[in-house]
Amino acid sequence: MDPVNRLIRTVEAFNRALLASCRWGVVLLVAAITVIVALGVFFRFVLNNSLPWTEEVAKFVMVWLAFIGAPVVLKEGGHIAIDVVPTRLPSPLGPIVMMLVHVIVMVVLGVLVFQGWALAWNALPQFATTVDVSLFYIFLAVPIGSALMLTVSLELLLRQIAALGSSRAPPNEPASGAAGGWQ
Amino acid sequence: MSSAFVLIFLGAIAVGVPIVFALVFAPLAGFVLAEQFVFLKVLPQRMFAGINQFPLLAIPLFMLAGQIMNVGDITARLVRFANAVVGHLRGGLAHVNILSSIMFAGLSGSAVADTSALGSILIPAMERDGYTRRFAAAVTAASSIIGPIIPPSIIMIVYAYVMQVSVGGLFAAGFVPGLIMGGLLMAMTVFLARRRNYPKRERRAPPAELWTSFRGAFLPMLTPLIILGGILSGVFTPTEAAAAAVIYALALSLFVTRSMKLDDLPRVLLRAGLSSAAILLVIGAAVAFGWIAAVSRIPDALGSGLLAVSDNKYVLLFLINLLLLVVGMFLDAGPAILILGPILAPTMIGLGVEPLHFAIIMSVNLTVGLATPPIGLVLFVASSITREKVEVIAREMAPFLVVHMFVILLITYIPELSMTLPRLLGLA
Repeated sequence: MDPVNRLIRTVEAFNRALLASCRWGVVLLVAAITVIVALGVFFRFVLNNSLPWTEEVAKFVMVWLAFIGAPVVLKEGGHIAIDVVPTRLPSPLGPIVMMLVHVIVMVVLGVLVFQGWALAWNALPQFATTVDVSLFYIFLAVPIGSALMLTVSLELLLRQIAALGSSRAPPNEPASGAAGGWQ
Repeated sequence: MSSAFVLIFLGAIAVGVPIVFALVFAPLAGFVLAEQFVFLKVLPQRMFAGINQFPLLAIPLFMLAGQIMNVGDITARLVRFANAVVGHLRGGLAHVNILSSIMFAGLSGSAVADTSALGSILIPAMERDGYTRRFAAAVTAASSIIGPIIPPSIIMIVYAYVMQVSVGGLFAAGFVPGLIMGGLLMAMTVFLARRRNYPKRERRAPPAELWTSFRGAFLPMLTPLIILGGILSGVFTPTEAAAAAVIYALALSLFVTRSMKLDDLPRVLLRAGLSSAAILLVIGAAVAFGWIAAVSRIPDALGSGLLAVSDNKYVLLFLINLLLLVVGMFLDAGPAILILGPILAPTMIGLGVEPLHFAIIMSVNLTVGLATPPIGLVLFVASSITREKVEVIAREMAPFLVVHMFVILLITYIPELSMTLPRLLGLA
C-alpha cells in the first residue's frame, strides 16, 4: 500500500473515533439545552422563583454544540457551498480547485485554532456571571472545534490527492441532509 | 482595511469554499494583506460573541420540536385530516399536499423538514393515485415553501437576530402571507387539475370520518397556538416558547399518539443538533464578517450605490426582489439573509419601508429561492425522495413558481397584508 493511502487510513480511523464521540456530544448537548431552558421556564412560571443561571449556561452549552457539531457536518459535506465551478471543470483542473478549497478551509481553521486558544487562555482569570466557571472552558469550544474540523479537512484533502493519482472519484460519506434541515 | 475583502469573499465562494469558511477567510486574508495581524484575534472573538446569544437558543429547540413531530405519526394525522377536508376536490391529493403543508408549517419552521416529512408520505400516495412522480415532487416542493413563512420559522429567527427586529412581530407578519401563498397554490392546482383531469376521492368524506380525523389532528394542531399565543401575549420569549413546543411534542408523541419510542430520541436529538450546529456556525462567521464590513463602511457604500440606481422605493423594491431571486437561485436562504440583510434593509428602511415589511419581503423571496434551480435545498430533498432529476422537478414546478412570484409582488406592494396583524397586536 502506498504511503498516501496508509496516511489516509490512519487519519480516517482517528477521525471516525473522534466524530463518534462528537455525535454523542451533540445528542447530550441538545438534550441539555432543552432541559436547562425548560427548567428556567418551570421555575419562573410554576415556582415563581427564577433560576439565575439557566440563560447563561444554556448559551454556553449552545456554543459548545455549534463547535462540536460542526466537524460532523463538515465530514458529511453539510456546510453549504456553491460547488458548480469545481464539479464542472475538466478533470485535472476541477480536482485541483477542490484541493485549493480544502487548503483555504485549513488555513481558516488553523488561524481559528491559534487565535481561539489565545482568546481562551487570556480569559482564564475571568469568570461567568452566574456560575463559578472560568470563561476559559467556554471559549475553549472555539479552538477545540476548529482543531477537530482541521483533522476532518486534512482527511478530505488527502482523499482528493489520492483520487488525483488513481482517476476515480474521491469516496466520501453520503450527506445525511441533516445539516441544511433548518431552512 | 480596503474593500478588497468583498472581492476575496466572492472569489472564495465562486471556487466552492463553503460559505461559512469564506465568511471568515475574506477578512482574514484582508488582515494579512494589510499586515494587520493583531486584528486576527477579532475573528474567533466575534464568532463566539455572535453565537453566544439567548435568542438563538430558539433554533435548536424549534428544530428539535419539528423533528419530534416528524418521527411520530403526527404528520400522517395531519394528512388524514387534510384528506377528509379537501380530498374530494379534483386533484384531491395535490390539494391535500398543500393543505398539509399549511398545517405542518405551524409545527415546524423549516421547508426542508416539510418536504421530507410530507414528501415521504404523499409522493408515494399520489403515485398510486395516478399522478406522475415528478408532479407529486413538484407540488410537495412548491408547497413546503409555506413552512418558514407561517410561524414558527427558523429563517425569521435568524433575520430577527441579525437585524434586531422582534421575532414575535415577524412571526405575526408572516401568518397572512403564508395563508395567501397556500390559497393561491391551491387555486393553481384547481386550474391544473381541470386541464389535466387529475383524480379525486370517490365522494366527499362522511361527517364521521371528518370528525375522527379532526380529533386525531386536533392536539398536534394546538402547537402553533401554544407557540404563537405564548409569544404574542408576552408570556414566553421565543426561546421559551420553543422549549414549551419541544415538551409538548415529546409528551404528545411519547404518551398520546405513542408513535415515538425512547430509542428514537438520540437520532432525533442528533439531527436537530447537527442542523443547528451548521446554522449557528454560519451565524457566528457572518457576525464576524459583518462587523469587519461595518467597520470598513461597506454597507454604507453599497447602500449609496443602491440609491444611485434609483431613490424611488417602489422601483428599488422591485429591483431588490429581482436581485434576491437571482441570489436565491444559488445561495440558500440563511446565508443570503445574514450577508444581504445588513446591506439592503437599512437603505430601504431609510426610504420609508417598514422594518417588518422588508423582513417579510426578504424572507419570503429567499425562501422561494430554496425551490428555484440550479441550487435549492428543497429541490434536492424532493429529488432524493423521488430519484427524479432536479431539472425535471423544476420544470414541472413552473406554474407554481409563477404563483410564488405573484405572491412576492403582492406582499411587496400591499404592505397591509403583512403589517395588519402585527399592528393589531401592537408589535409594529
